Amino acid sequence: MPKILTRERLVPNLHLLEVHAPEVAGKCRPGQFVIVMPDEKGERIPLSIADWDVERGSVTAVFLVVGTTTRKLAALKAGDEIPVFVGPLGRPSEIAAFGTVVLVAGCFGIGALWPAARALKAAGNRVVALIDAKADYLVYWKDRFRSVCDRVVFSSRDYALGSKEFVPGPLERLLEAEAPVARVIAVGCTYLMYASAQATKPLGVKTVVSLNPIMVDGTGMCGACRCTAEGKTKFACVDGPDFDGHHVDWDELFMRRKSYFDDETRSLCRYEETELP
Amino acid sequence: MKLLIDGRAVTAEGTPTLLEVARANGIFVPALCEHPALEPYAACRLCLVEVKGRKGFVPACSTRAEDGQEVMTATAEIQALRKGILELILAEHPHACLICAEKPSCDDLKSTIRKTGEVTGCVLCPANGRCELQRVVEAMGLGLVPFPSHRRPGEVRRDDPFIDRDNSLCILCGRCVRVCQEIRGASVLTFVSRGSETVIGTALDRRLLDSACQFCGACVDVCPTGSLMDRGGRYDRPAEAGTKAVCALCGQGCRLNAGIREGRIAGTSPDMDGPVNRGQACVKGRFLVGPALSHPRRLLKPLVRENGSLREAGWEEALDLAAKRLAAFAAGEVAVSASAQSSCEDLFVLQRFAAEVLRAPAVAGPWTGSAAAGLRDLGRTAGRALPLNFRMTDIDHARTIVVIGEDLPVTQPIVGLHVHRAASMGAEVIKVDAGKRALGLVSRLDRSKPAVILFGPSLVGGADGPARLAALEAAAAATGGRIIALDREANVRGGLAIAEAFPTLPASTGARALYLAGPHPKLKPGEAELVIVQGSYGDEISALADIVFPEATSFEAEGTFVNVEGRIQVSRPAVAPPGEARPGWRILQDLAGRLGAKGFGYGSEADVRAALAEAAPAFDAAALAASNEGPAFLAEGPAGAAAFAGRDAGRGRGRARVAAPLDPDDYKGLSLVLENKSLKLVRGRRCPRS
Repeated sequence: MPKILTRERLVPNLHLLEVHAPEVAGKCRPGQFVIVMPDEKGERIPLSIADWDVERGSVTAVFLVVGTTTRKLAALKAGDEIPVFVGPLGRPSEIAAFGTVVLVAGCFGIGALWPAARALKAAGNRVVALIDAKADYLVYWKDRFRSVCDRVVFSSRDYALGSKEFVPGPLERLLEAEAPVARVIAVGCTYLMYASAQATKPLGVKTVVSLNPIMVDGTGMCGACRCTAEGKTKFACVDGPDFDGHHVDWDELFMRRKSYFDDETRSLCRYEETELP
Repeated sequence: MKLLIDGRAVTAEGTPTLLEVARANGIFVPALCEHPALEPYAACRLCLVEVKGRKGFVPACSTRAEDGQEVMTATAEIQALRKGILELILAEHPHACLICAEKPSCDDLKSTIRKTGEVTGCVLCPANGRCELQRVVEAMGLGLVPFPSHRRPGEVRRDDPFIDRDNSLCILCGRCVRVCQEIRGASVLTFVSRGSETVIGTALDRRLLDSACQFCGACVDVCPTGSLMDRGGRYDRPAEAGTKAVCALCGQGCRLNAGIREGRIAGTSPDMDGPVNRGQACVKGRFLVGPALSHPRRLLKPLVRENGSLREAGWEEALDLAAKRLAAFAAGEVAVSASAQSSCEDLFVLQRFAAEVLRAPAVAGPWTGSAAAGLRDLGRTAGRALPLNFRMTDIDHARTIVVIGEDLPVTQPIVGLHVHRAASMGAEVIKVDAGKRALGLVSRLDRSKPAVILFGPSLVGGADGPARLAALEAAAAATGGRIIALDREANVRGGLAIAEAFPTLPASTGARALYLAGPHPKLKPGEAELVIVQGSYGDEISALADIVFPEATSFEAEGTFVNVEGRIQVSRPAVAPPGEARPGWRILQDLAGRLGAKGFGYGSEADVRAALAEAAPAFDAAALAASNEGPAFLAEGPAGAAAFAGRDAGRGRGRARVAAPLDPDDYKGLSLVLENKSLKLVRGRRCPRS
């Protein structure tokens, strides 16, 4: 079974998971994801790939602790094994010489966008990153982004980062200052991607988002991850996860993501009843 | 006295603080360390006001109002000062959501992230919507926190039962430290380290479990943020409605606020205005009411035995069958047991049913052998007026307190708080087991200091029980003090008073049938020809029954309870009974009707209470009517009624003889300590008592 090489808390609530999976590592491309099961009785969840190392044979994901399964993942230690680590899945992000690309990243998306940042820079783009966090202490991998990006700015509610606005305002100002911007890629919580797409729509700047509906299978069989993009039903796992943010039915996505909220809460309470004193 | 606050003339009585006067007059003064149950502390400095003639600013929470004072609460200077203080507090508290312009849409769209493990903003916080810091920020208005945010290191501590501790949300108001020390007398929580590294913790950073914590939840209730959190409610959405109920899990009679969501209890907390508990509770009332009510062992449908095994049945079928089978027994052949955790309404109808319909010998109830019964009998034998009623606050003023055989935090948590209060005012508290040593000790009490002797049911048992009790009573009286009987179950006093109102039929040689509405010693298969169980939880006895009636708990039906003090309280139902469970008195009344009995047509609990007041003089109608508003106590008859002496002697109790239960955490046959692993951990630390 795949072995955990590293599991560490990067910042509050966000953990890094590095798994020994050489077959996966050899095929990873930016924008793809893996399906993980923390234990044999657990559920399958998708995690965006945040990095890979062919020599180490490892694949890295950054995840938010937000329910039973991620709580279980966060409790794993180096040396533990997990029964399922399938990937890379999903279509890779489009990487080409676009010109200037603005990356909007928040939460687990900071990790998830890192491979794209690296690849876009290597493809000859001017890469500008807008990293959103509630506070300075929630930003990780600042140095990594600074090492490949031409410019890194922050949107936050924290004085330490010199900003108090959420994404839209700073993004609009960046698009103006960096004009012409060929595309925006936003990865993070649904709300961040939605807000980014809303901000760029009037300006007509192509905005790619990495959708995160509830997903079970990851290979197009179960249909749990269906979403509506460009007016058509799509499966985020095989048709995405990248979509044009200006043509996503966001209301449907928000609604579908909440479908099992009560069950998820009950599951977490039961998990705590069992695991905690 | 008359004061001028912000140019408004206001009046005040007594010795209130400026903060109390301002609040009473609807003037907003922010305060975060102040709490009505606690001594003023003046740590957060948010309540600074200006008093004309005094230099600088004074904290309103710790400044007494004086006649003629002129107070300013909202000058530009004060507001600037408060804002600065609030900003400094927020710099160390995850404040992003408090100043974020996206809040309205975020609340709608980010609902799933409430389940995060660590809190980095209000939308992720279990206290969202009930947080006092949130309310203060809202009232004061704040656009920016002009300091870099600092997160206190460490993750949420979840290594204790019931309570999560998250220092990253703590604003060091010290309420938890103070309630733990001032009110609870536990001193488990304290400030650890100094300066900017100060956190709330325990001695040597131990778990609460290893720090003598009672898990009363008082710290959780006073915490103005989500720093101390009830784990059971951590991920719940806020309750849809709330109601007040009297807790029946022990004999104290605490009033609880029960949150209701989707028809179920979603957490309980002590009511600040509860006449007995005044905002305090214990581990059971605070954390275990919901789990007890929704326990998988609840009886949800009537059961009847068919071909050797129990099957579900409708009420009509089960009642008809019970009536048919009970009709076959003659007077004295059915033994009846009752629970001291049932309401007075249930017990009164049960007594009537036993006496008039079944013509059973005395109903066996746990009040037999109770501390209160012991004290009552002592008075009757001696022909003296020995009061059973007391008030919790009587204990506060004792100079010496002797606690015999009771582990107060477990069996008498609120009495324990008053003992702590007396101790903090200088009383000497002596704890002793209910053995011979207790008698020797009380005989040597300092006669110049009024002593209160607290004893439980363990003291009155055995042949020498009455003599021991008499010795204690004499010792207390010699100091000018008194003895107080403390029983453990919710309605021992009520059950005892109701039992008095019913004549006792001569004992039969042996019961052929059992009607068990209360505890019963282990039952052997085939021991009785008919066993009917009326209860809330399935157990080994209901498994052997021929007919089982599912009964509502006190949180699901209206009912009157008389606590250890003799205080009468009517508890309103918090939720509907689960499944097809019904209130006990209704079950009995339906059964009585089927057996041809007259006068069992009560329409409501109030009807039953009216009949109770008529039949049992201790419950006078006025007291029952008043029991919702003010204090109402059981009327105590003139003592010295020598005619009563020996009345209980030779009472036949059939086979249903009941000993006082040893498990103080038993609720209607459900042992909370065995069924709940968290309570097991809490109780498990103590030495088992006999």
